[in-house]
Amino acid sequence: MSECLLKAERLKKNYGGFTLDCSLEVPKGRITGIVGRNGAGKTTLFKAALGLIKPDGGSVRILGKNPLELTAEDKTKTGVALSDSGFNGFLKVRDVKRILKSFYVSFDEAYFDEQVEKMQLPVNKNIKDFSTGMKAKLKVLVAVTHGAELLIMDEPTAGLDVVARDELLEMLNEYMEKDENRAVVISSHISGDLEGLCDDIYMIDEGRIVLHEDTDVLMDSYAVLKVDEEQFKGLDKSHILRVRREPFGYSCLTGEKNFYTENCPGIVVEKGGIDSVMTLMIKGEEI
Amino acid sequence: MKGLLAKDFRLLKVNRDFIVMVTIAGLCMIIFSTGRELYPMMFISFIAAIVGAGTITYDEMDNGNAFLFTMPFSRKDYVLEKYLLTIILYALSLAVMSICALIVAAVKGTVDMGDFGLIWVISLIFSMIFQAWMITINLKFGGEKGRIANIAIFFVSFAAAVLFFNVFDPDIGPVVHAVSGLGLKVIAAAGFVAAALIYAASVAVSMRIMAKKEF
Repeated sequence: MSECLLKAERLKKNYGGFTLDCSLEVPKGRITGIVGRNGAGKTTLFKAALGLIKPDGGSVRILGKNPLELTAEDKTKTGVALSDSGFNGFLKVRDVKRILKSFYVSFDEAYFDEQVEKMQLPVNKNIKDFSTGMKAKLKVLVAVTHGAELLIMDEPTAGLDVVARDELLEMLNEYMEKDENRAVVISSHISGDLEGLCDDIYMIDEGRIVLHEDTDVLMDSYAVLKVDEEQFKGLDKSHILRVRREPFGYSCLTGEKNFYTENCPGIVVEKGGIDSVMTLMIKGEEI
Repeated sequence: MKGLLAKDFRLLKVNRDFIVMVTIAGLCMIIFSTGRELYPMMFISFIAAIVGAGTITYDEMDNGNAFLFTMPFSRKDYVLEKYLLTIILYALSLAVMSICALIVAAVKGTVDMGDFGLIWVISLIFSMIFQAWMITINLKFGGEKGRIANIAIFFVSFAAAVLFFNVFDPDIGPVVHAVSGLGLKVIAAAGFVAAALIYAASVAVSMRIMAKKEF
């Protein structure tokens, strides 16, 4: 695997009843998605990776370094958008531009201005008076305007309508196209955002990674088998990952769709999307 | 550091009304008082510290620190910038008040230049102590809890002092006599050294507070 810009190994963080314990790799040239329910641990993982919280165990390295040891120079190589935090609401876009210019030598002022106009962001209005969509767009714009090597995007599309989401995802695609050594790690609980954007996807639940797979494999090879009691008894379960009891019988998650379409012609095989895979990985039982 | 200063000076615009009001009040005190034209130079030392340390409250508003601390600066830079910002605010306000006081005093002919120097030194000593106090308390407790902490610490200190004097009934007459015998310059120098030590301790404690913080 190519060089990792972000790597977590058995990273642990305890908060009362919640424990994060996960491993993850974000290599150069890839967009890695993290999907999970609210409170699954996505933000905690990002905060540990950014040195905002101290891990209780394991290790995390960003740009090859311990996040707590990142220098100001190192931090210019990351672009960050957090779901629950951003620039002070009393600032205006023109203030943000000035601030970014002061922080980042490589701040692309022309691109910033161009995008502000394209996104129709008001320049002289307090950020606190922005709509949810405007705030989200500004957060992503702030992260992509200084040529960062690694983008960390925590729920950048939360609360956005379809058009606004598309615009943001397009911006991330453009960012990746500019340099193949860049990487993006993006979290969302909206699976559709990640399916079309990410190269690989981590599914996280209750602080643990329950599945990591390339998006292509996830979309092509994963499937949900819908079987009744009789079919379930006779089913070859060697490639079944999870099973869930349903009113009609069972839903079975497999990562070998072709095996079942070829060998079990009588059963219903539904294409696995992130949502269905996620649901079964979390709520289903292992055989 | 440059980016942090840029941010804070832009956020200070939120306090524009307060700053204008305080400046007008200071100017009124200079213009309309007789023989006390230099007193505003004392009170601006407190105002500069309040406004400078107040930016810590703006940083933590709406969980803003989490994003802020992903930007290119260290926690040490953040602490140093708060002290630097407060020094800049103090220096600017002191300069404005001093010029106004000098002009008014020259017109009225009421101010002794010796007093002017003394007031400057006393203002500086108070400013250093107050900056040290406000920044450390705000970093430790945050803006809202910091206010409560300030009041609590004041009352506890006051109660402790009253209790001490009631229980031990110390004779402070000789101490006061000895200190007053030292002369104004020695007392001012000692005050400055003490303030500098408090300031240095405050910077060190603030660094430790920030190093431990999670966002």
